[in-house]
Amino acid sequence: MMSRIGLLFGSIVAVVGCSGEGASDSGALPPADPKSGGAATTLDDTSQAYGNSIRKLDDEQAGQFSLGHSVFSRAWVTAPATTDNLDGLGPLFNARACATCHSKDGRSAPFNTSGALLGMLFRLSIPGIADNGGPNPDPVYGDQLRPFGILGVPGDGTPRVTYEEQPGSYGDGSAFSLQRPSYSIDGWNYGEPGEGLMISPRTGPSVIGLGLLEAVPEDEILAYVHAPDADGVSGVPNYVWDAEQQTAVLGRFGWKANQPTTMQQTAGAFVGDIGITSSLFRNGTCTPTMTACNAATSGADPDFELSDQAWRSVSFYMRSLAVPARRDVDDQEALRGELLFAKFGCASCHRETLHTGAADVDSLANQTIHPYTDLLLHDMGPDLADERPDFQASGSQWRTPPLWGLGLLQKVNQHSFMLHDARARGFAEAILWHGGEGAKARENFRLAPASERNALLKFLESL
Amino acid sequence: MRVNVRKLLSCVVTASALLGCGSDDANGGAGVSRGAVVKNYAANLYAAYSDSVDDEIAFQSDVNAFLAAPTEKTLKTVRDSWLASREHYMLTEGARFYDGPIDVDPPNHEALINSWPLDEAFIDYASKDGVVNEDVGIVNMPDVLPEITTEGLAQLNGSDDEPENVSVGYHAVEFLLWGQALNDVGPGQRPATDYVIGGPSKNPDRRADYLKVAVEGIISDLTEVRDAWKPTASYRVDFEKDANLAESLTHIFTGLAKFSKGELGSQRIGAGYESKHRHDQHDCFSSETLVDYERDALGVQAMYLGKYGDNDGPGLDDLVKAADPKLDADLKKKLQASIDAIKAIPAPFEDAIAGDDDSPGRKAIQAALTALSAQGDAFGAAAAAIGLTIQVDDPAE
Repeated sequence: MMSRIGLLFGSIVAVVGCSGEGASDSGALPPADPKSGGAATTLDDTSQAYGNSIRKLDDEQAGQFSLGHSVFSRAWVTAPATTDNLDGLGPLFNARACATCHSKDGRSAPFNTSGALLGMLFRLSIPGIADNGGPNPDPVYGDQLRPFGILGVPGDGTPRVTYEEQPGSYGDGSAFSLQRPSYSIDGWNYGEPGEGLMISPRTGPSVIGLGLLEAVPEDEILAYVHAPDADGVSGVPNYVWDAEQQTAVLGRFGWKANQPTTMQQTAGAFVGDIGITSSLFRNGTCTPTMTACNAATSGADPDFELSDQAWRSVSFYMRSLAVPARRDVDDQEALRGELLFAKFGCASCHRETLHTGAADVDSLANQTIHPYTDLLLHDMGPDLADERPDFQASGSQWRTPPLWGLGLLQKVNQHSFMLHDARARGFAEAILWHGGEGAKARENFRLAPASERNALLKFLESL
Repeated sequence: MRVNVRKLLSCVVTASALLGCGSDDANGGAGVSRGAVVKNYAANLYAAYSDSVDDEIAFQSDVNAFLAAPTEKTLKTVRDSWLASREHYMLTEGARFYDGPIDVDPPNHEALINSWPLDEAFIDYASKDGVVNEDVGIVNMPDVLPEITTEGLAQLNGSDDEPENVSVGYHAVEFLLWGQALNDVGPGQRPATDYVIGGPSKNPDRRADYLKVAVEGIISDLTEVRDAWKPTASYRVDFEKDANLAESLTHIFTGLAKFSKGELGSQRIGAGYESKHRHDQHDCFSSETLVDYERDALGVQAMYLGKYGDNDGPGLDDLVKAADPKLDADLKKKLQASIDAIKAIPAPFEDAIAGDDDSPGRKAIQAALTALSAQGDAFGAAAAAIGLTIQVDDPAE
């Protein structure tokens, strides 16, 4: 029934409140706001829920969305090709298309059906700081492992993961088990990496609601910066290099908030993940000792491979993907779960509500949104640490990831892997991995009666 | 302000009633049942996939004849045969985007049969700025794959990054017959001598092997899709079950709407219109893209009407007409308008997308885009009229 609303959304807006009835039952919690993304909310709750454009795009914007969607979905191919706007793959790469890791605009499973890595990559660096203040790339492999190469160019190496089950128990004695990953790289194809190599695994997150998060004024984010409170929770901004402005600015995207804008995030992913250069990142990713990589044909026409038009469009596409509406908004158990979410301390970082300011699209501007994030860094303790600093983020700090739309992950992407390296199998495990600033909230959850834990999970499933 | 969804729902029900959503009964009201419509759709689709398999088998013998005696004349014949071999498959494309046998992933037959763009240099020689590199591609790299066989390619493709999606299917065959399209306008100019043993091109035998393997792959994938729609196949049986009719109809409408608006309109035609890249079109090697687009639109129309070949059975139109004759008439008009608009685009497509927005080609493309978008929305309204809910807006993939 919910999705029928989708089709008639236009009419609903006009008739909201037309019914005089609906006084809440006494004692019942009031329903939650279904519009998680404000006007940029979609009522689609199907397997396509992440792939809807926000409403009220004008003709030019709709055209840009179409083009951006095609750039996002299409595979890049080896240069040279007849499709000269889509050539230049690699020579080293993680994936051929954005949609490989962000399947259906969501998050691909970390591994494909044959057990090979799919929606995950590994950042690399050695101790020290690069000129831009960021991680110091490995001298042989650069700042990211690319397992694949075009024909004749060997990939960097093959990442492997093994898991060890780590048993635990809830306060009521019932058992759970967490899988602790360990990572290794098989067969470094270009020789040994640099001394002190650090490896950080990262899964591709879903790309919904990015335009809203980008439109949250910096002041509002910084207002949540604070020293440790009684629960040990603080909030720290990351300041990262803006390659276009050539200065350090507030970071807001990525697992460590290491990207300042969707434009830069996009250009960075193109060059790092697919090997596609752009006007922002004109240099490819072959390091000097990679002979075949350096000899491969470039798809640049003439200076870089991703046209500015395609770059703008695909960024616009991601900024214009609507956020799925919250479901079961009057379900009493889920509503009680949200109260517990706040009571346990989860909401100290996963902030329910932010506001957007000015934006180039009406439905993104001046909206009240419910992303459940503060976009700030928090120390998550040694169990989740990647021990790899990223600008101001330490080896154990991570950005609070937004939770909106996460209740539909199973439906859209057929898995429920969560956290930066997809180690958690569902919401409960994700919570149980929280440490550091999240330890108190985790313990509140772990020690709570099953009815409360279930209510909280039901709340998360409604997002 | 918090919005009470229960209130919203009561409003929606009212709205639905106003739109005539009340007819939830199994019959459309004019003697045509939902079951009959769904069964006819499945029978037509099975017939279309069966024809597609037969087409590809006929094409295979033309390929073999060409390879036995590669001349410009036999090349022309086999190119014509390739175009002909795609007609029935194009008519099935309205049955996309509901995780049916063509789309379900794995194995994702659609990507293996019809994916685009194609990784040309993964397959064969390629040129840039007039310089041909004859040493690239599987065809020219026996050290990478000593023997080009289905198993060999599969094994190579097993190297994890799923290159099969960009190295097989109809467009791989198209590339192997036409070659790279290097001019602004017009098809590729691959010479027949590429397949002549002892001729001027390297590795003609391996190129022939690749062509054969690609055709075999299409036959095999199409056969699996066809068989999933066999009258006795479990997917088909479930699809036609009384209990599943509403869901099946929702699938059918979803496919038609999303294919019309999101895929054929926005992605296949719209992206090229926006980028103005001349080869941003599915048949970029043969330069016959507009033939595809017209067949696609005809296929969507036929699915709505319940027609395929000589069969004119119970169609979605019968159900919609019973619920709302005006809506049905409007949708029929829109379906024809899209076909007419696509036909009105001056060929070749790469020429039509060039120029400014007032050029006749771009105006014609814009008209087709508008028509396909309206058609997609009209499918949404039509589905609502018979009490179904579909999501019309942009599909994710």
